[in-house]
Amino acid sequence: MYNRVKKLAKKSAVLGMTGLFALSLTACGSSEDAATTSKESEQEKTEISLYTGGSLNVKEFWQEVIPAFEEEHQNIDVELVFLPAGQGGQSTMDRLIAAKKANKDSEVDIYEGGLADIVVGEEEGLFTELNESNIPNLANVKAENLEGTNGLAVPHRASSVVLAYNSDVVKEVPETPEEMYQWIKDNPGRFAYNDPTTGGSGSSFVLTTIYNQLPPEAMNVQDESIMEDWDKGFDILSELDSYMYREGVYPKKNQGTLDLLANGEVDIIPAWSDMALEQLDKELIPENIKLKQLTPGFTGGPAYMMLADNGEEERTEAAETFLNYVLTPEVQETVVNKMYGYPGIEWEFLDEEMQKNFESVSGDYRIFNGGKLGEEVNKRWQKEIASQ
Amino acid sequence: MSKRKENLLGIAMVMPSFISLLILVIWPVMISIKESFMNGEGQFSFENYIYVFTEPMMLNNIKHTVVVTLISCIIVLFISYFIAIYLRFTSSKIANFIRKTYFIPMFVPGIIAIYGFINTYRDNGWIARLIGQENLPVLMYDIKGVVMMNMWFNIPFTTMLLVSALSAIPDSVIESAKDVGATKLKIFWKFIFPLSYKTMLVATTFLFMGIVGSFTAPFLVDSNAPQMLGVSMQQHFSVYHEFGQASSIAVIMFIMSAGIGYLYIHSMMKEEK
Amino acid sequence: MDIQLDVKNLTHVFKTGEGIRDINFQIKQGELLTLLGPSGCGKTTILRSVGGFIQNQQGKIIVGQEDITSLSPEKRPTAMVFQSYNLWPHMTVFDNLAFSMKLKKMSKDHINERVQWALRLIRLENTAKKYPSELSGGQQQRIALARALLLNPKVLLLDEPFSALDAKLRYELREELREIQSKENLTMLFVTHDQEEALSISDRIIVMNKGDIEQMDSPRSIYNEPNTLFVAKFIGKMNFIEIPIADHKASIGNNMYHFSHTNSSKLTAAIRPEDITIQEGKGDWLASIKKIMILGHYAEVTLETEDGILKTFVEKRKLESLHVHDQVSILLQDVRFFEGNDWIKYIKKEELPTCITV
Repeated sequence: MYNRVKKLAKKSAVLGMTGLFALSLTACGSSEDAATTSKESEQEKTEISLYTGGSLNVKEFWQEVIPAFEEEHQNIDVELVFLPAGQGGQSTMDRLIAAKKANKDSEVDIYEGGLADIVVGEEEGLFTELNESNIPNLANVKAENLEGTNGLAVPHRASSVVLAYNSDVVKEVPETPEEMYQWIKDNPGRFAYNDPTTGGSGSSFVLTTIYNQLPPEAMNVQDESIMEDWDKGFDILSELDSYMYREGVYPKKNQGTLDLLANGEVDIIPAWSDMALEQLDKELIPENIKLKQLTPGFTGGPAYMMLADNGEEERTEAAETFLNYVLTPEVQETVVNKMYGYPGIEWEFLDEEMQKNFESVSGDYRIFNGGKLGEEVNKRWQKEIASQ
Repeated sequence: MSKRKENLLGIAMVMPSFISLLILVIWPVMISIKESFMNGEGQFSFENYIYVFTEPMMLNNIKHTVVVTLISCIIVLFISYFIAIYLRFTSSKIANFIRKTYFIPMFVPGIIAIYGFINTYRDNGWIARLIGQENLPVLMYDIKGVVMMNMWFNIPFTTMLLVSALSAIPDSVIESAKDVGATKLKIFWKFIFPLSYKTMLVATTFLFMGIVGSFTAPFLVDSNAPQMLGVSMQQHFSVYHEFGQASSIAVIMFIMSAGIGYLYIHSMMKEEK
Repeated sequence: MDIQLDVKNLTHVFKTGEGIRDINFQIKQGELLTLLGPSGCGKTTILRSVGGFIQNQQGKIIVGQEDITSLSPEKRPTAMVFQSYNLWPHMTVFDNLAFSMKLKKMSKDHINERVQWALRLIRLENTAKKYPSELSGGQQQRIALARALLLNPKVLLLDEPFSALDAKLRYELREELREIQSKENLTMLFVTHDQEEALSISDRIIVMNKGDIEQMDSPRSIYNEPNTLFVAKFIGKMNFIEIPIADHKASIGNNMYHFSHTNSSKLTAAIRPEDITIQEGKGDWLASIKKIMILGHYAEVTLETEDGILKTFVEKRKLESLHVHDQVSILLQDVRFFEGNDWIKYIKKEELPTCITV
C-alpha cells in the first residue's frame, strides 16, 4: 500500500515532464521491440519480459541493468515493457488476472510493483513463490523489507522520506522528531509539508507525527480501533498548523514543497530521498539543499519484483536468474547511483565509499503497514487540519 | 413509402452520434448515479448523499465551489464583455494588437499555464521580487489564485464568443440609434446589450460548466480546504477509494451543470416563442 | 426661399487619401437634392458628415440658422435612413417607431397617435406589432423612413435607401418617397449611385467625382448640358467620338465647328443617341448600319461612320425602311465638345459645301 502511495507521489512529481516525454518514450519502446525480434532468430535463447512503469528514472535504471545482464547470460533475452506514469500502470495487474482466469500465458514474466500488488497477487495466486534455493541472493536482503511479501516478491530497491533543508540557513539540523517540531515552532512560516492526499512525503510527515506518539509496533496494526489513539498526533499537527508555511498552507504534490525549498520560501521540508537526490544531481534544485534522516526516521518503503506464475519452466528459471542478478551488489550499486534509491540488500554488501556518501540518509526508515488506515489518516487530516 | 425510407435514413444518420453519446456520456452517467446510491456493501442507500450534505467539510466544499464559480463567471463575463466592446468599437493600434493576441492563452497547454502562473505570482515569484513581496496580495494557495486561473483559461474563449456576437450587430443599428437621439448609455442598454444577450447566456453556460467541474487549476492553486468539488471528488476517488461518495459528488456537479443548462434552454425556448 | 442646409468648405480626407475637398452647396426648404456619383466619389462622406457620423476636418454645416458642425449625431436636427439593416431587430415596429419619442419622454397617447400617423403615411397600418424579420425588404425600408420622419428632422438624409431592393420595388418606393416629400414639404439630401434614380427623383443633382463636385444643376440641365466629360459619361447614354482639331476648327461629316481658342490637338464630341436622326437624302454625315437591336417600342441602331461608331434610337414604325449594311445619311441635332474633361463651346457652325447624299 505504502509503496503505491510513494509511486503515485513520484508519478506526480514528474507529471509535467513525463507528459512531454511520453511520445518519445513510446518511440524508444518500439525500436527496442525491433531489436529483440531480430535476436529471436537465434533459437537457443530464452526470452522473458519485464513489465514495469512509473517515472523516467525507473526506465533508465532498467535500460542500464538489462544489457549488463544479457552480457553475462548470453542465453537469456530480457524485454522491457515500460508503461510510463499515467498510461495505465494498473493494466499489467489486470492482464495477469485475466490470463490466470482464462488459464492462458500472460506473457508477463517479471512484474515490478508495490505492496498492494503482492496482496492482490496472493489472493489470485498470480505469483511464484521465491526462496533462497531458487534465488540465493535473497539471503542478503534486508529482513524488514521482506515483511508482508509472504515469499512472493523480491524487494530490490527502496526509498524513504527524509528532511531536506537549506544548509545556508539551517545550521542546527533537527535530529529527532521532537527537535523538528521545536524547530518549526521557533521558525514560523519556514517549514512546509505537502498536502498528504497528494504526495507521499507530506503523508509520511503526518503518519510519523501520529505514530511517533504510539508504540513502534503500532505501525503494523491494521485494526480500526487504533484510530482512537491518533488524537495526540493530530493535536500536534493542529498545533503546528499556524507555524507552517503561510500559517497553514500545504502545497500540492511532493514537487510543490521541493519548489518552495528551492525558491527559498521555506527552509525545511520532508522529501523523498531519491527524488531530492536525483534533482540535486541534475541541478534542478540548488546545491545548498542537504538531506538528513531523523531518528526515528520517516516512513519509506521498497519496490518489489514478482515472478508471474506462467507454468513455463524454462522462462521461470530464466526469470529467477534475472531476479538473483538484480540482487547482486553491482546492480544494487546502480540502484544507489542511478535511482538515488536505497539498496534492497544490506548496506554492508556494498562499496564502503558509497555507504559513506549515503550516510546522511541511510538512517533507518520505517515501513507503515497500516493498510487502509492510511486513507483514514488522510480523511481526518483533510477534515481537521486542512480546514483549520 | 419513400417518406418512410427518408425517416429511416434520418434515424440511421443520427445513430452514430447517438450511440457514441450513449456509450461515452449517458452510460457512464448512469453508472455514476447508480454507484452514488450504493453503500460499501453494494446495497441501495442514501448514505453517500447524507455524507455529502451533512459533513461540514463537504458542505464547505459545495459552498466554495459555488462561490468560486459565480465569482469567476461574473469577473470573466465582465472583463470579456468589456474587451469585446472595446474591440468592436475601436480600431486603434492597441485594439488591433489585442485583437490579434487575446486568444493566445488558448494555445498554451493548461498545466504549463498553471506552473507559469505559480512561478509568476507565488510569494517570492518574479512579480513579488519586482514590486516587493509585501505589496503582492496572497494569490497562491488561495481562492484569488483560482479565480485568476479561471480568468486566464476562460477569458479568451468568452471574448471570442462575445466579439463575434457584437460584430454581428451592424453599424447602422448603432448609428440609427445615435441618430434618433440615444446617448451612449442608452445605446448600450437598449441595443448592444439586448442584441448580444443571447450569446452572453451561451457564454455563461459554458463558463459555469467549465469552472464547476475544473480540476487541475484548483488542485494546484487553491487552498487546502475548502476544496472545489472536482478536487474533492478526485480525492475521494483516488486517495480515499470511496467510490460511492466520489460518485455522489460527481452527480451533484452534474446536477449543478444540468441546472444551468436547463435555464439556458428554457430562456432560448422563451425567445423562440 | 429659405436655405435649410448650408454646407461650407466641407473637407474630410481619409488616411487612404480618399475623401472630400472643399465642398460647398445649399439645400432650400422642401427641396430634394441628390448626391450622385460612382462608389468612392465622396457622396456618402458628405452625407455622413451632415448626419454627424463623421466629424469633418474643415468647413461648416449649418441647418437653418444653427451651426451644427460640432454636434454629435444624437443632437443634430437631422435624421438618416440607412442603406440596409435599418430597423432594430429586437424591437417591434411600434417600438422602432416610438423609441425616439420615448427618449424625449412624450406622453403615451401622443406617441400612439404619432406612430399611427406615420404608419398611415407609409400605408403599413397593420404592422405595428410585428418584428422587422417578419416584414419584406420594401416594408422595412418604409418603416425606416417613417422612423426618420417621426424625428421631425430639419433635413432628412437618405443613404442609398433603395439599393438593396429589386427594380420594381425601387421604382414604387421612389414614387412614394416623392409623394411624401411634397406632402410633408421635407428637405432631403439623397445619396445614390443610380443616375436614373437621381434624374427621376431630384429637384437638383450634384454629380461627384473623386471627392469633388463635377456639376450641380437641375436634372434636365445635368442631362442636356453636362459641364464635364465625366458628367456626360455618367449620366444617360451618349456617343463619344474623338476628332482632330486644327486651326481652332474641327469637322464632323460636313459640319465645321469653330472655336475661339483650343490648346489640344483633339476634342471629344459627345452626342446623345436621340440627337441623331437617320434620314434619306441629304444629311450631315455618311454612315452604314451595322446592327439593329429591338428594345420594345423602339430599337437601338448602331451606325458606322468614318470617325467611329454611333448609336441612335429609332421608332418602331421607321424601322421597316432600315436594313443592316444600308448606307444612310444622318443628321446631328446637338453636339457637345469637350477638351479634356471640360466642356468647350463652339462659336460658329459652318456647313461645308460638299453635300452628302445617299
